[in-house]
Amino acid sequence: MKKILIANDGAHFSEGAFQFAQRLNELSPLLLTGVFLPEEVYASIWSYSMTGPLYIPVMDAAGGNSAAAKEKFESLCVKHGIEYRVHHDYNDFGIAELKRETNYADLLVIGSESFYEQAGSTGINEYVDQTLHHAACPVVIVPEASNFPETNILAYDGSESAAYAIRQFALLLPELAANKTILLYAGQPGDTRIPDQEQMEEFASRHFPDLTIHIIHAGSNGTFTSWIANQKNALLVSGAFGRTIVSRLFRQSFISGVIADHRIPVFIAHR
Amino acid sequence: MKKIIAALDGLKPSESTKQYAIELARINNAFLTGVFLDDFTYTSYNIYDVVTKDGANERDLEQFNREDSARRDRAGNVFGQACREAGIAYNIHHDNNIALQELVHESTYADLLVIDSSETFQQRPDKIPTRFIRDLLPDVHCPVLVVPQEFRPIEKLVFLYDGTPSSVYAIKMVSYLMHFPENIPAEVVSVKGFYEDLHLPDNRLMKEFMKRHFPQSSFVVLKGNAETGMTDYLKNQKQPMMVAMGAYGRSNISRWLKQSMGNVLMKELNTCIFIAHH
Repeated sequence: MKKILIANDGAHFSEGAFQFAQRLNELSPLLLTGVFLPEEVYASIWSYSMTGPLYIPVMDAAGGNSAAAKEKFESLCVKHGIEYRVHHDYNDFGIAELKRETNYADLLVIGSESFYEQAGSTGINEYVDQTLHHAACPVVIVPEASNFPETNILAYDGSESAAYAIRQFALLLPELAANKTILLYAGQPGDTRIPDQEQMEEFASRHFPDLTIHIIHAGSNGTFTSWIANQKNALLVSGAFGRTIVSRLFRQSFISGVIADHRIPVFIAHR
Repeated sequence: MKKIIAALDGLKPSESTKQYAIELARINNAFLTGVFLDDFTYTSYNIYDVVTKDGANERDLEQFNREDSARRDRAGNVFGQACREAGIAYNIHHDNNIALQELVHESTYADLLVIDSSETFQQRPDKIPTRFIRDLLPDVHCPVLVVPQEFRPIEKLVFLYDGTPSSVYAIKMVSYLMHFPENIPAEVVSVKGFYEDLHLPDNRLMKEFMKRHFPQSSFVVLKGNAETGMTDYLKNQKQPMMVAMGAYGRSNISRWLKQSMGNVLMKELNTCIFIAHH
């Protein structure tokens, strides 16, 4: 049985993230731990980003308050028959506390849109960015309006971190690994093979019974974004966030692009 | 389906690596790859014996190389035969480059690596933990099961836990990668200083987590010096066990291998050691 963490920022309850966890529970029963941060404490998270231009004063947004979000979480868990726990009462919540929680969880699910609401900026927000860097377990970012994944897209660049993320995904969510899967390699023009093709095929085809290898020739970030937009109900599996070879290949952190465009859920695992 | 790789020396294949790997693949319904590290710098003969005053006799050299190559092929066949008998899916790789680099590379595309603690990939035996194991562990890209020279089925799990993410990561990896009988005893062991309380680090979170993965586990908190306390405790265990531990970064694992605990676990106690990097 897996323990899955769902992080809410108090005022906002992410329906998308909850639905994702609920569907996972249908595939294999899990323990869902809801993490709720009271608004006044939540405000202190933003102090982490105070150095940058992203500081946003937190108000009790019209969307509700943490008690209401907690109640909603509990009633939905009961309704769907999900075993759950609620963790709150954080004295000094911040990145340190989140790290501690993710240390004892198999997966962290966050709704990217709700984190956006208050941040209101274009591009990836500081909180999601910090969460991805500090989480001790893999993270799934789920947009509010997305269907449950039916296709997996494994971003592969021949690096160890990409292989690591693919392994973590296969081990953690074998139920999803059974879906149609595309191993996507961003190559230079003229590339017809992926790096370490034999080993990667031997490895990936054990975990993903329905596997296709697809090579796109990176020239611009647009190629990838438009390709991914055509994949219906997809989930992107990606390695280390930021500063990777992948991101360099696509000229900028392409995961940020995908998250910012809210297109598809993204599974990110890093060491 | 998971992919397990077994690191084998074609010139002196480890019987216990083969047995542990096949047993694990069978229980987990995993795919097993026998990685034979046929390092071109490693031969069964001593090059100095071939070289005489008049230079090396090429015919002799060729003959020796043919014999080595035949031995390596034979080892592969024996391994394949054992896999077929056990009814598991398998593959064999013969890698000819420098053994350590090849194995690190193979580990990127594997879920678990099984290796004998006495493996050297050279003619000369080495003291345990061997140079090869000490060089391998900091660099490897997947969790490793270091097995003793004699095969004994695992009857108990011991998780070394100190509250760090890497120690929990190792437990996660054991849980994802290996299936054990439900009633197998599992122990989470922590050592705390003399002046500290006897609570498990992050007690509530840890127990909530463990209950999901190993519901039968018990928790042991020892007092004293982390290294000697743990070593003494493990020495008193009678069952064949698997000790799982996490490691963070290169220096951490190198340090651990230099301490007496690595030596005690691998040499005196003959335990299986599961190491996962974070």
